[in-house]
Parts: sequence; structure tokens; C-alpha cells
Amino acid sequence: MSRLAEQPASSSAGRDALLLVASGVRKSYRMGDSDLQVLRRVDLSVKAGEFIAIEGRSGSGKSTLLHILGALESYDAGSVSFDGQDFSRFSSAQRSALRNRQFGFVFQFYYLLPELNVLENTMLAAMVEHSWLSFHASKGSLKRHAVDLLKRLGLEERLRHRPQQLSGGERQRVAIARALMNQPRVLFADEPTGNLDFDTGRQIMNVLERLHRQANQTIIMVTHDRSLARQADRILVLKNGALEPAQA
Amino acid sequence: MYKLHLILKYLRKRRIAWVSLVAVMLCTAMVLVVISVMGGWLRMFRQTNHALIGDLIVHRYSLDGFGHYQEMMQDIQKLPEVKAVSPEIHTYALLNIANQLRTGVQVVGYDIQTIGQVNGFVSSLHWQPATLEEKAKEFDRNASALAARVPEDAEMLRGNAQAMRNKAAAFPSWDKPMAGQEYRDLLPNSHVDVSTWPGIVVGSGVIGLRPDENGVIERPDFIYRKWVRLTVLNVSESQDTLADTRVTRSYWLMDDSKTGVFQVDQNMVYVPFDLLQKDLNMDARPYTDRRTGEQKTTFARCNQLLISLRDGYDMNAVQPKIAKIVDDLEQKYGDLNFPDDVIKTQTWEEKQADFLAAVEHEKVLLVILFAIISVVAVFLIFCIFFMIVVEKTRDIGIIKSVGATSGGVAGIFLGYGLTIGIIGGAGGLLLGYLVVHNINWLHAWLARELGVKIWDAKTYVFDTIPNTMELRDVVVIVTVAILSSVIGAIVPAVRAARMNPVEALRWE
Ligand SMILES: Nc1ncnc2c1ncn2[C@@H]1O[C@H](COP(=O)(O)OP(=O)(O)O)[C@@H](O)[C@H]1O
Ligand SMILES: [Mg+2]
Repeated sequence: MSRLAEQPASSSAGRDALLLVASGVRKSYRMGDSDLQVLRRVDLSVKAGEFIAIEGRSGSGKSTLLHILGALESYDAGSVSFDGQDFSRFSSAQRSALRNRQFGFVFQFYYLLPELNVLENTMLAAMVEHSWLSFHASKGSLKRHAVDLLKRLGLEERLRHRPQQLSGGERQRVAIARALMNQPRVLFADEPTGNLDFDTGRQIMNVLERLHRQANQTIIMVTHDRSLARQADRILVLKNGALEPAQA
Repeated sequence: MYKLHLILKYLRKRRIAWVSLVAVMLCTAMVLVVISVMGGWLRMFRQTNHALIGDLIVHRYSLDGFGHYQEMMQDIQKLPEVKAVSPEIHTYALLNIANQLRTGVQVVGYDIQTIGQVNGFVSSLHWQPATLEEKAKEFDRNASALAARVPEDAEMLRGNAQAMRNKAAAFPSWDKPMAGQEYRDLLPNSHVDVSTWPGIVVGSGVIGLRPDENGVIERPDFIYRKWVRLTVLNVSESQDTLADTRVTRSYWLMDDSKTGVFQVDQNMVYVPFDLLQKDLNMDARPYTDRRTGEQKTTFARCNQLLISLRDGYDMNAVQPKIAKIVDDLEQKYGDLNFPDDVIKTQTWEEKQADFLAAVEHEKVLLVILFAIISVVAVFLIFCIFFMIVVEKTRDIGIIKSVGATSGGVAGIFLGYGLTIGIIGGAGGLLLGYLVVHNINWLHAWLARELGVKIWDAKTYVFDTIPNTMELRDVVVIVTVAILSSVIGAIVPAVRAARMNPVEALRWE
């Protein structure tokens, strides 16, 4: 296991400590004979407790950047480090552990497992983290934590429902609960409202905002909706493969 | 943990998984049934062949047999490994049962005192001590019922019961089951004392005794009251080639023998050794040498010596010792045999080698069949799992995005294969067990309802289908079923493990 995984979440001191740093990140996809340059030179420093919104047109590479920052995808050049440790030094298992314990993901299309009910989907990260024995040893407290999360997201009546039986907004709230299950230090949200109507989208945004303000949750959110991005501490725009501050 | 959880969920929710489970189950059951029946048949075949002979045999091809067998027996008996030796004579004869049945048979002369310790003949008989005891009990029951009303009859029944028990105690013997007067009453017009006729045992098939659907043989009482005339051709070394060598002797049918080997039960009758020896001129008898006019005695002969060993001795190790005794005696008395018809000493396996080899080939066939079925099962699981992996691509991405390692994802699919293998194998075991244990009933049912008769004693030697399972076979087959399921899951599992999480998530 990575050293990161063993460290308690509060190890990096203070509010201003840099949690996630990307510098000169480049990424291209091979498309037949030519390369498609998606990220040319991305620099980003995220402080603990920050709420960052990344804007950009469709196809500008926002999802790609988020996946790279979340250790889900590889990059061609540059460096990314979390808590001072460079991703390139991590083994595949250590990256898995990082995703499991330090990061949480919320996707545009919810991505819940259809075979599992709401409670089981929420507990997925905990199930992955624990062995069979240790899961059962701490099942009670894990379950209480998951139910507590779902309650705060207004889903206490839905614990045994399957994803297919829920509305879009409800599904996205389950996805948020799942992302928060292992108390991640960074929450990544990729157009979390992109598939929802305006009012439902607002509710989801309120959830994220509350998380940020009350729990001091570090959030990196991708959106192409300026009105939603306003909630964030900082708004960046991904354009021509690089990040720049947004004009007001 | 998520592995176990997902495996169970997938198993319950995915109907396609049930298909693979049923496929594994059917494959397992099929192989179990075929292997159990064929394997059981092979075992029965060996057992009965062993029971026909004993452990070792000294024999000669020619019906003339060989002499000095008593001395040979004494020497063999001295070996510490040897439990018992019994002489045997065999020949061909014409059989006439009460003028109702005339047929050609093979006649075997057994020494009833020793044969029981050598081969399975005694336990193939119907009138065994157990049967006699059963009869005795029945007489006793009837006697008790009659005791109050007809005391004389009850007394007579008690007498019969005692007679049965006496016979059982004296067993084995060639004693006939009924009292002398009863035999005389059966043939009142005879001018000889028919009660002195010896007893003969006939193969159950000779007199048409066949098991019914349930494997039960009905034996009408009257069959043990029939007279039998047996005509043999003696093999005297008479110089008078024109002499009539037919000898006919009358017997009472006293028992039937069911070894379970169709061809044996269909063709053999058994008579006392000394009588057959005498009828075939194989006993010691005086003659006059034509050239010298000297009075000489022929030596007694038999065709075979059947030998059983004490527990724990290897027949292959004892075989040369017996062969040496035989050789020494041949040296001592001069070799009178044809060069290519020497007296052979063989283990029962060597004697039946031709049969057993044919049967061993069947085994090879079975293994090939087994291998093909396993490959089919592996392929089936592979296809189904590949489909599931493709179908579940996005789920794999999700699981990886929350931190599952590649090994963990592979574990899900391997565990899935393992679970299907275990449940399918267990189901197949249960199904196979039910089929194998009711196979004779099933076969009878098929024959009755659909007119399909697969098993015929003429081809398969035995009249019942073997219906037992060997623990070793079961363990091997179920293990292979489980392994096949896991092997079939390996490639799909590796594919799932290698998946890039982001590409998996983008999967449409
Ligand atoms: N696996 C891939 N192979 C090739 N091209 C890809 C791949 N993933 C993304 N792209 C391309 O990279 C560009 C950026 O994609 P994405 O990051 O999803 O943009 P956004 O999220 O900003 O809409 C798009 O043009 C897309 O077609
Ligand atoms: Mg996107």
C-alpha cells in the first residue's frame, strides 16, 4: 500500500497547503495516423479546501484533465503530484488505493451499478477498501456512515431501491454519496448537472456548495455553465489545451 | 469483499449466468453417469472374472488335462502364500432336463470341499446357507401358526426347518435338498433307486432364469425336483479308436448358479469332480500294456488347478514359485505334452488378458470423451463470460474508478467462474447421483414407455446396469468441472482486468 494511504487525511497542515499540483501536463490521443493534441500545457495548483470550477467548450479536454488529476488516466508529459508525491512514482495498485481513499468521483451520467441497491452502491468504495473479514467486522459503523450520508442527501427513504427506480437527480445524489463514502480529500465532479433539468441541477449544486462550506471539502468541478461555476472560489477556463483564469 | 458481493448479485440477476451454471451441471452429470456406468462395468467385469478363476490358475489347453495333480497340489499348498488349491475338470456335454429341455452345455467338475475357498462359485449358488436359513424360518413361522390347530403338520414343518438348518450347516456339499423318499416318489416307476442319483448345479441361464425389471429372479419350486441326464464324451487314452466313448449319467437338479456373467450362466453346469473324472476316464485305472503285457495304472488327471492366496500376497510374485513347482514335476515325470501345449501357470489377469485388454481400451475411450466434454464446458464458460465482460464494461470502469485494482477485477470474474463451477458441479453431482442410483429403474421405464432398450446382457455380460459411484471418480470429475469453469473465465477476467477505466467508462 502507498504511504499516502496510511497517512491520516489531515496530515498536510493548514488550509493553504498545496494538495494537488499539475505542471506542464500534456496529453494527446492517437487517432489513426495523426495525434490529437487535447492538453498542451496544463498548470494547476489546488489548495486544501478550495472549490475550483473548470469551464470550457465541449471537446476542449475537461474530462481528460479531470481523469488525469484523479489518477484515472495517464498523461504524456509534465507532472502531477498529490500531497507532494509525484503520480509517476506510484504503482498501479497505489494509484488504485489513491482513488479509493483520497479521491471521489461524480460523473455526468451517474454510473451506478444496476445490480446493487442505493445503500450498496454508496458503500462500494468501502467494500473495495476492506477485506471480507474487516468489512464484516466494521460493517455496522460503515453502514451507519453510508445511511447518514444518504440521509443528508435526502435519500433515507430510498436505501433499498435500485438505480433504475430513481430519478436523475436522485441518482446523482447517490453518486455523490458514493464519492464521499471514504471521506476523500478531493472530490472530482465532471459536469454533475449536465444531465439534469435546471432546478434539479441547482439542488445538486447546493449540495456541493454546502459540502464545501460546512465540511471544507476540496472540490474540482467541470462544467460548461457559467452560472453554476459562480459558486466556486476560483473559475478556470480550458482553452487550446491550457488553463487560464476566467474573465469576469 | 466487493468481489463476493458482486459475484452473488451477478449470479442472481444475470440469467445468462444460469445458462452457464446449467451447462456445467449437465456436463458434470453426464460425465458422472457415463464414467460411473462404464467404470462400474469395468470393475464388475474384473470382479466376476476374478471370481470365476481365483487368484492363479494352472491349466493346459487340451481337454486331456494333466496328471500328478495331487502331488502338484500338495507342493503348491506348502507355499506359505497359498490359501487353497482346488482341482477342476471341464468338458462339453449334452444336457437333458426331464425330457423338457435338451441343449449343449459346458460341464465343470468342482471339488465342492475346496472350491469355496478358491473362487466365487459357492456364493453364486442360490441354495446358499442364507437361503436355507430363510426357508427354515418360514417353516418355523408356518409351524407356529399351525401349532394349535394341526399339531402333526406343525411338527412336520419343524422337521423341515431342522433339515434346512442341517443342510446349511453342512454347506458346501453336493447333498441334495430333499429326502430320499421324495425323489423316489417323483419317479415311482423307476427300477433303480433314483434317490442315489447325485446332484447337479446348472447355470441360471441354462434353465431360463432371468431377472425381471426390478432385478428379482422368480424361481418356481418345481425346478429343484427335475431329473437331469448328462451325456459326456470321455477322453480316455484308449487305443481302440472305434470304441463308443459316450457316458450318460443321471442327476437331480439341486441348485442354480448365477455368477452374473451372462455367457457363463447361460452355458455352464456343475457336477462333482470325482464323478466327472470317472465319466471322462480321467481317474486312475488299471490297464494292460499291449506290447509288454504288463499290468499298469493310468494316473489321475484334471484340467486345471485353481489357486487362491492369503490376504496381502501379490499374485504376480507367487506366480513364478508355482510355475517352478509345475516345471519340476513335469521334469520328474517326463514331459508328455505337445511342445506348444505346455502346462501354464498364470494369474487370473494373464488368463483373461484378451478380455481385459479390450476392456482397457474402453477406458481410454472414456478419457477422450471426458476430455472433449471438458473442452466444451471451458469454451461455453469462455463465451458466456466474454459476453458478460463486454456487457459489463462500464461497471468494470466504475469499480476501477472507486479504487478496485486490476487483480480485484480479475478476481471478480474468476470467482464468478469458480462459483458457477462449484454450484454447477454440486448440482451435476446430485443429478448424476440420482440418475446412476436409479439407472436400472430408468432403463426399465424407458424400455416400457418408449420401447428403448440400450442395455442387453448378451453384449454387456451382466443383466443389471452398474449403479454405484466411486468416490475417486466423483472427486476427479467435480474438480475438473470446477477447474473448467475457472479456466473458461481466465481470458475474460484478464481482459476485464486490463481495461483502462476511462475507456471503460466511456463505453456505450
Ligand atoms: N480515448 C480517446 N481516444 C481518442 N480521442 C479521445 C479519447 N478520449 C477523448 N478523446 C477526444 O479528446 C477530446 C477531449 O475530450 P473530453 O476530455 O471528453 O472533452 P470534454 O470533457 O471537454 O467535452 C475530444 O475531442 C475527444 O474526442
Ligand atoms: Mg466531458
